[in-house]
Amino acid sequence: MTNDVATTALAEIEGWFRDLGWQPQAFQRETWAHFLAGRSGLVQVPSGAGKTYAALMGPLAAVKADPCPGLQILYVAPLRAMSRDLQQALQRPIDGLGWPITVGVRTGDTSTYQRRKQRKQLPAVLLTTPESLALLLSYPDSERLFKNLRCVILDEWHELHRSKRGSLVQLNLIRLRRLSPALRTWALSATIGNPLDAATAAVGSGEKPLVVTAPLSRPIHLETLLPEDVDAMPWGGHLGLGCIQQLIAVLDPAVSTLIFTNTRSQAERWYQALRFLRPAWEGVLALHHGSVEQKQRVAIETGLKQGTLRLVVCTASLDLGVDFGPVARIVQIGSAKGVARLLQRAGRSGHRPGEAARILMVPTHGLQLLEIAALRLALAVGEIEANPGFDKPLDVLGQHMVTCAAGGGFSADELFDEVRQAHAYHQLSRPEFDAVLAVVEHGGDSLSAYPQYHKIKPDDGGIYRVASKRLQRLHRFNIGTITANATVKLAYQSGGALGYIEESFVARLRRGDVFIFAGKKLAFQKLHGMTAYVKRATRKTTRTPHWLGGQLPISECLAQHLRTVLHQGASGPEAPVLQPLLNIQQRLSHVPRQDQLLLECLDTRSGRHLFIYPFEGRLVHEGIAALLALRLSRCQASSFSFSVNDYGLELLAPAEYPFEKFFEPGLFNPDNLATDIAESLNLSELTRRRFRDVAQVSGLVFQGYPGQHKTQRQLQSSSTLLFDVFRQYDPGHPLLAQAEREVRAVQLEEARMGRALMRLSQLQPLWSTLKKPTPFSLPLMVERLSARLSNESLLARVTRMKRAWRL
Amino acid sequence: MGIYPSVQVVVRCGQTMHLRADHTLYLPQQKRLLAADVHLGKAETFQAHGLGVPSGSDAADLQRLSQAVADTGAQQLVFLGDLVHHHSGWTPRVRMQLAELLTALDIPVILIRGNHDSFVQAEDVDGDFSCVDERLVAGDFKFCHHPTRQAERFTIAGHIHPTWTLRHGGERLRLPCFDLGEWDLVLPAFSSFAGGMTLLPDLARQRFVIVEGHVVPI
Repeated sequence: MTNDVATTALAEIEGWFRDLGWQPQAFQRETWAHFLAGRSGLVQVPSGAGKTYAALMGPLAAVKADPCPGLQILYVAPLRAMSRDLQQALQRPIDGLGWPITVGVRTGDTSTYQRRKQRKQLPAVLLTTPESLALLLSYPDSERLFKNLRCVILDEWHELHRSKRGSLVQLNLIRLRRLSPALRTWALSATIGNPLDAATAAVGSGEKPLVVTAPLSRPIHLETLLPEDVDAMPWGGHLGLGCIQQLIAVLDPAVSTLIFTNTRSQAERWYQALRFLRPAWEGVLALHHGSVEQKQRVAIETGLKQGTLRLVVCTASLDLGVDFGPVARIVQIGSAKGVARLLQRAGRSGHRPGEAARILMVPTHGLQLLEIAALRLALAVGEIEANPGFDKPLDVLGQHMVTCAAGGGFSADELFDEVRQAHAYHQLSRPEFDAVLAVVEHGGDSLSAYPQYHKIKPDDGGIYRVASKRLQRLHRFNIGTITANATVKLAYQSGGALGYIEESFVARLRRGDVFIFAGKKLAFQKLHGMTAYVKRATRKTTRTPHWLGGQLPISECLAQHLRTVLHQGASGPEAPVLQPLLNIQQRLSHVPRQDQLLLECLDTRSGRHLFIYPFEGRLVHEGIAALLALRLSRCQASSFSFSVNDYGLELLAPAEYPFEKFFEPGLFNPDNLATDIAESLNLSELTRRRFRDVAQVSGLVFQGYPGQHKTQRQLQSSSTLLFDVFRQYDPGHPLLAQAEREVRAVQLEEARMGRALMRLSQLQPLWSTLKKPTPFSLPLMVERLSARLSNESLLARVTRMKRAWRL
Repeated sequence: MGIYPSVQVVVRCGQTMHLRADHTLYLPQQKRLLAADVHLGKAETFQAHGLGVPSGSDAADLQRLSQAVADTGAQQLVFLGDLVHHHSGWTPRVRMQLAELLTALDIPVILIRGNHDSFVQAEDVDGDFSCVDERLVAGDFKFCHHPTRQAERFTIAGHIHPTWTLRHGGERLRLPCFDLGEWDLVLPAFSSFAGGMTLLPDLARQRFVIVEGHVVPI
């Protein structure tokens, strides 16, 4: 019966579409029907195609057909910033149809008053973030709040599903399904390589998901800005403002344009340069990145939408789904580093279905043309990266346990079965689960080490609950898994917030130092608490704040196409500039075929350089460089420095080191990879840095109560210090192992490295002795020496550093 | 290239100080050993607030302390404040550990109370243990918790946990250090579970970093 009523409601919705002059698309109708038939799944269509309404209208019709009190539809979006636009998008059909359905937003920005009101009675449709959802589940009355929930919609699921936040969402979804067994889940995703995987993560392992796709493949026009003068193209560097004059010539302040960059410092540099060269664009030109203050970002987004701002230099901060309406043009500075990212960015232009997406690529150095040619090839073949990710993060599990203990309690056996239904944890073993439980209950396995610790404990019936009200409150402040690097707020001394900046950058500033932030020249005044005070400056400066994690490696898929382009030789629009560059490379050395591995040796005053070009992306190269250094030093003891980029790696040894003599394909043998990596890289240093994240997620770092920072000094500690304490006094702690696992899987991409080594060991070495640097090797030589294989003790390092100072 | 297990400094009053790699300071003329910011019970404080951090650093620190007393043959031990991290970590177990140390050392121990441990009383711990507030004047020296720079008497203090950052190329190392001025010396935190404040370069002051059992003048 209800289904008939729901069908009638759907007809009304179709009427609303028609009134607006729209036509429901096939994939939208298909999703509505699947929902009403009780199924769950994933909608995968390009951005701007109408995913939101595909997921929303089915549940909305069901709510209309069979009204219940309380929350019915939960809409989870990854960014708080998206909530304003989404709320309008959700409200629009409800208002248009005149249905009595309430819509509400609950994020970290929602006022306490609003939140308290919502706790009494949630709106029928609630828009929230993963963290706010976890918070709701930590309340003892969560059962009452969610018992009538019909549908969860997961927006931008491709961004979330393989991340720690995605794991958190998966755990929460399982919890929700237990509270409301008829719950259906629909995830929305841009085009990714592994849609079924993403769908399974969304619906859990209890159900077979559907994947709805639309044959709406928008053609993508990739254009490249080629330098007029072939020799003007630098051989290396990534900020490269070389093409800026040409870009200015094609930019038009009458056409709304997003200019994507890959790092925040690059965005700052380009924005500054554009402003300097075209003062007339003041007012239509803006800068948008993740560290710019929220209010300013909103103002920029609004300006873009209303057409007052035309040219916005941005980073991945504008990658996600905020709907800007028509942006006419997309510019990408440097390489997009991956096919999926290119598609996502190109999809920002010309939002009308069927219309071609256009993207203008601006290379920052010569070899980037190679990447662009590879992207072109990947688009032609139609291959897209699968989303890489990380399974069963134990820190997130620990956090979830405390959430469950706070939200009504749990029994260990039941929770274990429940957690295993989440795709991210389907391989979790009982010992792993018990180890995490022990961490949350006792602190760790060694009971004597944690005499004062009680976070959760079981009652007589074996139901775990949080030990005290105070700890519950503490936990709620700590919920969430995104952890940025330590940032401090940036504000004018006269008042007015500017945004956030990395603490490590501020730490190196002295009073009066001038730097550029959000396009403004600022003089540093003082750091007080968690705020850095600045005032406007007029002096010139070259300092741009740096943000960690800015440089992504090229994806495995793109890397493969890159090698193909090399093998086949340049073709397409990039050829006129790329081919001369490859010719120089060929003249001075070689351009390797796909079955060859190019090795170049060069002697300079600094020593003997060996350049190798696996074309596998910088992270893999970093690992391979360290591995080779270790294995070579076993042949003849020596110390190596190395540097890497996306194309290759450089090992620098003392003069006359006989690289050729020791080189054999066995050096690339992937056997013993794990142990050799542990030996070659300063694994504990990498793990130490990673531990910050793990410690924060699992609630080991005290985040402070809002407005109460000063009184909790006794709980402040840096995570690096915690790492040392753990390693020394509880070395078997599961969270330490977790941090190391993350380093290996995410930071070093160990699996990808293994595949790369396997490939390299089968290639035929092609040696070349250089007299001067080649187009391939020069960028590596100028790259700051990024690491060194060193068996030196700390003391020896200090001695060496001190000696270098004296010179 | 100065790298030493300890560094001897003669200050303006003619007294000698031994800056030791175990983070303590020894005054040979007075046969006094000084340690600042031991922060006992820090892990227990964290635990009591629901942060699961393992204990163990206290036992290791106290062991290091008794070794220092044995090495120097000191006749008195002075804590320059913040011996205890917080009252929630001042548990019977921690007090017991301290009492055991006192018994083993068998020399008078004085605590100059700091901002963290103003609640500690002499009777909290069995043994030859006494507490004073603010400062202790002993001959040419003044011992206190908070650093002061008065040009009358040489002051030895703690509190700020001084550290120094070495930089070279892409490398960065942050290390605990002694911070010596014309009229004062600030000791590094003795606790192995303590962060620190990075000092800025100051030509009027000399820094000695501690690295793997050695003291290195910068």
